[in-house]
Amino acid sequence: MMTNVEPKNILCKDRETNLMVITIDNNCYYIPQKDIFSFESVQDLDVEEKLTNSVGRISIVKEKIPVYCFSGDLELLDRPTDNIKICVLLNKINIALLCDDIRVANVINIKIVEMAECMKSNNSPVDSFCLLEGDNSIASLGILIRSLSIKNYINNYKKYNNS
Amino acid sequence: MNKAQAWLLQIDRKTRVAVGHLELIHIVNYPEYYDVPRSPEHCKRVILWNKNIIPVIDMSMLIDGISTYYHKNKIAIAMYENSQTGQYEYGGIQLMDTPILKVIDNNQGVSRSQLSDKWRDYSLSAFKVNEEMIPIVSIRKIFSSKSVYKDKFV
Repeated sequence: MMTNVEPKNILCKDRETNLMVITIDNNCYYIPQKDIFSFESVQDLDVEEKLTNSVGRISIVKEKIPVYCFSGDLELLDRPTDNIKICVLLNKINIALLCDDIRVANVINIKIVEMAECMKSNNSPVDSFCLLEGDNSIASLGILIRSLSIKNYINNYKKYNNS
Repeated sequence: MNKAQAWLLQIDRKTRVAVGHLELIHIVNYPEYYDVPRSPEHCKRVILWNKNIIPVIDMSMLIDGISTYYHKNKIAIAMYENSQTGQYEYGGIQLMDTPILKVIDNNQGVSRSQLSDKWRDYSLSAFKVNEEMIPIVSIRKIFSSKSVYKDKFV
């Protein structure tokens, strides 16, 4: 399931820089295409079965995958928000993420830039930015999240947010 | 008597810090900030400058835990050598006023040990202008190390 897929090709050198845009509560985050396994319907979400910090589970083949929901500023929520329409199954880490929308990033050039040390936090799935250049040659900024950093963030969430 | 030039940066109403005159590259007025979720409170914004992503430090927040972000409409762009990669990179420091270039004499110098603990971690040394103690900050320490003073997000 994909929405708002834009028709232009992305001219990228490798799969790391083939990006998708995930919208969560009106905030856009970029994620490498290789980090996404599939999109599923939220109708299949079973909210009765929860792991810590998850909002439920989704059955894929014979496996039950925990599903998580972020707020717009990447805080973990304990229940899905009203805008959620898509469940994104992340590659290799057996975690699914709820989002409002997902589409292919429509940019000509993408440069992945690692975050400066002073900005990094153990309590964040963000460790890089993407510098994006569209048709108009004007650079813009994207925030990159990767499946592994999402997994680490979720696993350590309780440790850093035990309020 | 040896002399050197330094830029004086007004980081909040009361505090000035200094950087070497070759470290400061550019001043950006009225920058457009991008918020970065879940980054430390003292460095939660970036700007785009010449197709570079510049992390912006609020030094008042880093040192005193008090944000004066809304009073700051200038950013000093400084260059530093990343201690891990060895590459030269840019970082931004939020300012309340335009930097002033000042010539400093050797006899104005003050030992780093005379600085308070909170400044010592980020400073190379200090000097006095009248009775005001001005730390000479290490741009590299500020931008290429995680915060010494851990906030709730670190």
